[in-house]
Amino acid sequence: MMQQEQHIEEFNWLELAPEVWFNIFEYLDPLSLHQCQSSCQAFHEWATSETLWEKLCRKYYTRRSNWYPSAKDTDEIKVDKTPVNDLPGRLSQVRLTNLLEDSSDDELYEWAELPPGSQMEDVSVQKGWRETFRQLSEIKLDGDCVYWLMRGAVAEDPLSAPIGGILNGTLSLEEEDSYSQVKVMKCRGTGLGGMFQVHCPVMGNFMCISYPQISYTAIPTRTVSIYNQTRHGYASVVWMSEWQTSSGTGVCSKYSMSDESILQVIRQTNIVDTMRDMHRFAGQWILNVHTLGDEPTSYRLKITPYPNSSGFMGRLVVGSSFDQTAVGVIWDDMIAMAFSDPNREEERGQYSIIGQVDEVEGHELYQRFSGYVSQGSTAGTFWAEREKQM
Amino acid sequence: MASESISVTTSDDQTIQLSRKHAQMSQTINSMLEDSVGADQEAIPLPNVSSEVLKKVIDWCTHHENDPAPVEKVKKLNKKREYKAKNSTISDEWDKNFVNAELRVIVDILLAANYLDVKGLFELMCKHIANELKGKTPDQIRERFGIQDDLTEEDKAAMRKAWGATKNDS
Repeated sequence: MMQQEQHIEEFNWLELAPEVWFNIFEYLDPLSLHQCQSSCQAFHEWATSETLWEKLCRKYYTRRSNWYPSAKDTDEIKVDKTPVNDLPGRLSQVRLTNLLEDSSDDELYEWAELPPGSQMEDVSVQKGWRETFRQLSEIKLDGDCVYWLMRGAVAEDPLSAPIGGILNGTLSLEEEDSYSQVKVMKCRGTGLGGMFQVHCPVMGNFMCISYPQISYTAIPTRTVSIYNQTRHGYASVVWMSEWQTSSGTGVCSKYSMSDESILQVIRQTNIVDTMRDMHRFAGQWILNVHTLGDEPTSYRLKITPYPNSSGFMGRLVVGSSFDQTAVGVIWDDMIAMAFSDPNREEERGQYSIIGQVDEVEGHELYQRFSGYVSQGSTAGTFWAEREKQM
Repeated sequence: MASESISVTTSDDQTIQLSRKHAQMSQTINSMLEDSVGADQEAIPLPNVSSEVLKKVIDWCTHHENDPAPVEKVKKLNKKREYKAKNSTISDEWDKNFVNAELRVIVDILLAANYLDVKGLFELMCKHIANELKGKTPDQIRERFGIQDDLTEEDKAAMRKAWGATKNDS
C-alpha cells in the first residue's frame, strides 16, 4: 500500500499527453473546465487550446464572424460599386495599424474579440503584449471563417529570426455538414517577412504574407492581404496586420464575402485586395511604380517569385538612397505588396501598394502590364514587365 | 491458419496469452499482428504495460468482447454553436466497479489503454478522470492530482475576468 501511494505521488499528471487531457476535458461542463484551467499553467494551456474549443463550442467564433459584414449581410450594406480605379485615397480611411499601435492591451484584446482565456490573452496579460515570444500560431476555424494568431519574428535580430517554420499545423474545416482538412503549409519567409500558404480542399489554396518591418522600431507594420475565390463564388479575404517593436505579433483572419462587399472591405481596412484566379508564374519581374502624390516617386522592384505561388519577394530600389526588401503578391490583374520607405517620415516603417492591372501588352520577350496603385493617401500608376518564358 | 491466442511480453518480462479476439481490440497489437503476418510467431513486446495492468485490460476486453465495434463518428456541424461536452455518465455497472479503483490503477490503465489503443477502455478512463475533476475547486483538483500551483495572482485574476466574460456572454 505504501508502495502504491508512493507510485501515485511520483506520477506527474501533467506528463500525460495533451491529447489525453483534451479528451478528458471534453467531458467537462464549462464550470468544471474553468476550475481545471485555474489549477495550474499546464491545465490552463490545455483547457484553452483551440483543439479543445473547436470541439466544445463555436459561439465565440460566431461573435467574431459578426465583426465584419458577412456575405449574408451584403444586402444591407450600401456597397460602393465605383470601380477600384476611381477611388483614390480609399485605402486610408481606416487606419487599422494605428488602432493597433494606439490601443491598450485591453482594447486590443477586445478589438480582437478573442475568446476569454485564449492564448492571446495569456500572452497579453501575463507576459506583456509586445514581449518576445516564440510560439506556434493559433488557428481558429469556423465554417468558412479562419482566424489565426500569428506570433512572429523574434526580437533580438529580426533579420535572423525566420517566420518560416512557425506557421505550421493542421486544422479542421467544417462547412455545411462536411469536414475537410485544412493544412497550413510551411511558411516561407525571412526575418523581413513571411509568407505562408494554406491549403483547404474546400476553399482551395490561399496565401498570406506578412511583412514586419525590420528597423524603425515601434512602428506597426502593415501587411498584405490575400484572397481567394471559393467554389461558391465568394471571395475569401485574408487580412493581416502585423507590427513589430522588438518582437511582433499579429492577428489574421479570413472570411468570406461576396464580390460586392469586397469593395467595402477595401475601403475599410486599407490592406486588402482581391484576386480572381491565383496566378502562378515564374521568372523575374521588373516592377516600376510611379506615384502621383506630393512627392512623385518611382520605384523599381526586381522581384523573385516563390515557386508555385503567386507571391514574390525582392529588392525595391528607389534612386540610390532607398534599398528595401518588399514582399507581395501578383495575380493576373492585381498586385499587392508591402515595404517601407524610410525617406517619408509619415510613412516610415510601412508602405503598401495595392494595384489593379488594367492593361497587359504582349511583346516578343516580355509582357508588360500597367495599372493603378494606391499608397496611403496617394495614388498613381505602375507598370511592370515580365520576361516571357523561353 | 492464424493461432487463436497471442503471446505478449509485458514490461516485467511476463509472457501472457490472450485471445486473438481480445488482442484485436487493441489497435496497437492488431497493427503489430498485421505487420508480422507470415513471420515466426514470437511474443509481442509490450514494454509500456505491466502484467498486472494488462490483466486488467484483458478483464475489460473480456467483458466488452461482444460489444459492437466502435464506429468512428462523423462529427456533425454544431449548428447551435453552444458549448457541448461529451456525456461522462458511466452506465454499465460492471464498468462502474471496474473504475472503482485507486487513482494509481486508473492512471496505469489509462496509459495502457492509450498505448494499446483500446478506444472503449480509453474513453472509460477519461470519463472517470473527468468525473474526478468535476465539482472540485482548483485547490481540490491540485490536491487530488498532486499538482503544484504555479499560477500567479495576475493569472488567476485574468482567468476570473475571462470566466466572468464567459458567463456574461452565455
